[in-house]
Amino acid sequence: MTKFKVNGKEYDAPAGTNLLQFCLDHQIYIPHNCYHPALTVAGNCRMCMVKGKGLDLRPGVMTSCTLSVREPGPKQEMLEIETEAPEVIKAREGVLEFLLINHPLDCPVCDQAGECYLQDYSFTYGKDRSRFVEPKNIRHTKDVGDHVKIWGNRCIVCTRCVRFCEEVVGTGELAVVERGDRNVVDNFPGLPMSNLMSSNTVDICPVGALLDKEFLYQARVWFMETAESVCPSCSVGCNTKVDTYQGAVKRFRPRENQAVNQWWMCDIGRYNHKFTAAPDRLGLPKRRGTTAAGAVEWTRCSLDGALGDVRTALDRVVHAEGGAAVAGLASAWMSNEELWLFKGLMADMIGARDLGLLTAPDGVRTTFKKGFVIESDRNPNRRGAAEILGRAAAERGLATVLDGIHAGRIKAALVIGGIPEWAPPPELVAALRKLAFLAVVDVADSPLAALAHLVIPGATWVEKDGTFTNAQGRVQRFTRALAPPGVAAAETELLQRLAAASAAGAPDATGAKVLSAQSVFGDLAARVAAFAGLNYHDIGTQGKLLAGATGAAAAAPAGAAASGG
Amino acid sequence: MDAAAPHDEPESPPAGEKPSLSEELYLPEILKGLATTFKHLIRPEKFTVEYPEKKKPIPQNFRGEHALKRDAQGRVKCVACFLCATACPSECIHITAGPTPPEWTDREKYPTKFEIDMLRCIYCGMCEEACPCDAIELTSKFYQVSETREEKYFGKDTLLRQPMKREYPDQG
Amino acid sequence: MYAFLIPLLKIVVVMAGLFGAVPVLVYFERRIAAFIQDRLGPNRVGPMGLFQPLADAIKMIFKEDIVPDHVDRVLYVLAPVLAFVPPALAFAVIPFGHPIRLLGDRIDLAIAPAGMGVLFLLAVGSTSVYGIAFGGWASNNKFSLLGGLRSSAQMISYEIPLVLALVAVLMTAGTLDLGRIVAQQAEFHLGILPAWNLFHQPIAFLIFFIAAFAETNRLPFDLPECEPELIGGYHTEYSSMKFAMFMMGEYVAMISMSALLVTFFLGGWSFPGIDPTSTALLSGIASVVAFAAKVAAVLFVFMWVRWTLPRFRYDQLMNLGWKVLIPLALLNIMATGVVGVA
Repeated sequence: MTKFKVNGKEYDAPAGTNLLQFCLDHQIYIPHNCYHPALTVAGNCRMCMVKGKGLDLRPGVMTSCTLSVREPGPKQEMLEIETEAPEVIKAREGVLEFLLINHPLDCPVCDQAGECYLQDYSFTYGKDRSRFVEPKNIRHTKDVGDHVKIWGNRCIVCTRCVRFCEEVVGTGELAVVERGDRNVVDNFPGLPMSNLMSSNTVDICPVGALLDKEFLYQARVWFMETAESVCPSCSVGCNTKVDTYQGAVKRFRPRENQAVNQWWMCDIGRYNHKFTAAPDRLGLPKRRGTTAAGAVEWTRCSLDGALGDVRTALDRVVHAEGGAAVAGLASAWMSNEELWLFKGLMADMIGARDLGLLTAPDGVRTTFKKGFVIESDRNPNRRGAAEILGRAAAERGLATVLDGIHAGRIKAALVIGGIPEWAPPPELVAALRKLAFLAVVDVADSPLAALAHLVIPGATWVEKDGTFTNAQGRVQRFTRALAPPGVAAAETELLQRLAAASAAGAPDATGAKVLSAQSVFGDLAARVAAFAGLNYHDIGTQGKLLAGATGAAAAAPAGAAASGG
Repeated sequence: MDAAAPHDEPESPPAGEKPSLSEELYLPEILKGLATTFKHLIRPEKFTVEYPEKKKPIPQNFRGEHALKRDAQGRVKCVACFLCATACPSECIHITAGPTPPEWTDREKYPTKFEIDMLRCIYCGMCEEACPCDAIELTSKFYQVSETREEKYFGKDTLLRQPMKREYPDQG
Repeated sequence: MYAFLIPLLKIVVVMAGLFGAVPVLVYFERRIAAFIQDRLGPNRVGPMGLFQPLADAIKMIFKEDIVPDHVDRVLYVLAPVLAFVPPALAFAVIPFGHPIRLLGDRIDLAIAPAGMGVLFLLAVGSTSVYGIAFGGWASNNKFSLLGGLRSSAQMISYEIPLVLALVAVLMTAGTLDLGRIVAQQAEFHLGILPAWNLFHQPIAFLIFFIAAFAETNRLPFDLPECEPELIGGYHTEYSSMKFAMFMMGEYVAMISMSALLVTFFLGGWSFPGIDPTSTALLSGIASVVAFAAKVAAVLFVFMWVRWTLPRFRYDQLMNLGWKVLIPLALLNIMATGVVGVA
């Protein structure tokens, strides 16, 4: 460890530590635009000025992003910086004035306002008027990729996006074009930024130059409410922030978790939220009936009535034909808690012998230059399902159930879907059609729900609390950002109320106390070996590995050939 | 009263203002007061303005119902920056922003919806203060009666139709 | 034949006049208040707002009569009645005109011209505190109770100077008969100055006048209701006609007190030009008009004072009553005695 001084106070850090990053990590804020811990140091914005002295430093102001911790000199003199010295402030003010020469300062119509570095720094270091009377340069406003548009006027040419495409994605579509005060970021002609990580450039852009076309003008950032969540779109389980405004999801942003997704998330997961507000979302349970003419007719019913009826119908089949006549299918989009309750209800209370797992079809596994991975398994919780339902049920349960139905052994089933925009495989549809009774819990009026005798509305992951277990075996929490539509409820609640509904089917389940996801997780951790030792609180924002998991599943070899885009 | 008297002693007169004998006797002072009130009693001019028949002139800066202003081309001046909604203490301004029609070459963002819930509004004028484009204004429209609550939920059309308090030279 | 009809008729006429005067007074009170404050006051209902009292009465009658759950019901209902009966009873003995001779019978223009009228007045007058004290007690509300208590203390305190002031008057008059007291005042000094007790007993007049404000709970002594401290005081829990009866009680008390003031100090029904020994009907009517006019003038002063003076503090009220008015009244009696002996 090496000693050095910041603002007169002595610190210790290994030699070579970036000084700017060290200060940021220790609550000493230094303004910066171009520096990003994931990217190489460019030192081009000149905002992170500090006053340095000691060692071989030339006394004066210098950029802190290019300084690193060094061993003391022969006379034990230490590296020393001051972050708030008068000359430092003056230097930052000067730098900021230059940055603002061509910046339009159109904050009122800029989507970045509220989370803009330049705006914050203008407030701290800026003048209340410009001393430049010359007309501002007009630079291009254009699409640079599928999701991203650039407002060149706002660009301060920090090159974060350029370095990101080059170093993290490995595709390098962006470059700085033109020279002098006209230079601006652009994509290479004929090479639009269409890699699968492109929208991360919007997150790292310190100003409002790169903006997300889908979020454009949707909401001012200060009005939105943010919940910490996990992306369900593949088994990596990128940590995310869910921003909502007036009860609707407006955007996802990645949340830093070095063990999972570093600072990033892919565009597939980022834009996979439309279904949460789709018009076919279910808000009320419905029951299949037949019109006089013989056509299918759906009638709405109350949640209590529907849950009571499901329990009654399942119990009746069990009573007549035994537990083996009932099967349960759950999806790998359900949380650990829901799978645990599902298993408890179906196997332990109803006595079903066959449980199976529904999964979304696999995609292409993609690995990027710096190691970021999009897994081929496009389900958030297949690993958790395997631990909770058992490997056999998770892998072969579905086939067993289908065989049982075709053999006429299985007469009734409870299916919990929740996979967005999912087309059930034809063999599943064909089998489910044969059942005497089928209850489906789903978030939308899906093809699966169309087969059911009773459909109960469930909640998407942004509408409930819970945990997913990603491919590494890391249990990660997601939190509720929205209320589910209508009377729809989290599956943890639905399953508990189903369990509480008496065998006679009296719909008095409302009186029963419904345990939170946290309590259910406590039970899960106590009873399933893989979850032993975990508790909901400790999982926190960064997740915890299952007992025995190495966390290696998602760790791709660094520097692997990029295949994004 | 000596200086050590409790400070909350109600009878102690303010220092240096010892009441005169006529003040101590009350009666002469009461008669003076009665004379004053009698003068007002017989005074012919009254301050009452008999409202529905006569109206007081409304001051120029009166804060009445809102209006959205138009620019020289007759387009809504508002750029949907939400600063009024941000400043609004009663949270009665609801804006939905969108990209401008392609023929508006000089601007890129405008309000597709602009609604003010006049029943929640407290007429503080913060929206007017906050507006960077001088696009919203509290007019001197004072008489604001409606028969339903819905009528008091002003949309963009209603706000653009409001009479202007004063015309400004267009500032672009 | 009309031995019993005539008193009945007098009762009806006097009570009708008394209660008919209350809404008129309310109207004038509001108009005078408005004029003193440079406003217009009620001028919408009827010509010049003259029907405003009618509108008020209709409103009062049709308001919901709420009896709160926690009240002492018997006293709660009784209190408004008690508040306005005693002041009305005072009118039984007040002579409002000189005796007239009608169809051969001599008729006294007083309901019950009793020889000990003053004693009756004092006896009845001291019961008027019950209405307010009961109202405050029965409402079972801390503000009402405070109002009632303040009222009791205030009325007892001011009854003493009131009576002591009268003692001086009675010493000069030498009688308890109100009719004779008035008749004495119908004479003249030096041919022009009426022999009103106001001029014989100015200090007694002053004390009586001040005490009259306190006895009727009018500003500057309206501490029993005192809105900023006690919400409504003793009538906080009252609504509709029960509240209206408290209001009427206050105004009837004002009229009674003014009538007493006129009778004792301002010559009652006498007026220059009215022959006190005449028994003609016309002269009798003139005397009634003179009496009414004097009472109206005093009532105007009541209102005028109300909109001029601020409310006293409670300690100031008590100081004035006990430390100023009572000693002054006693001194006045002594002086009267000394002058009378000399």
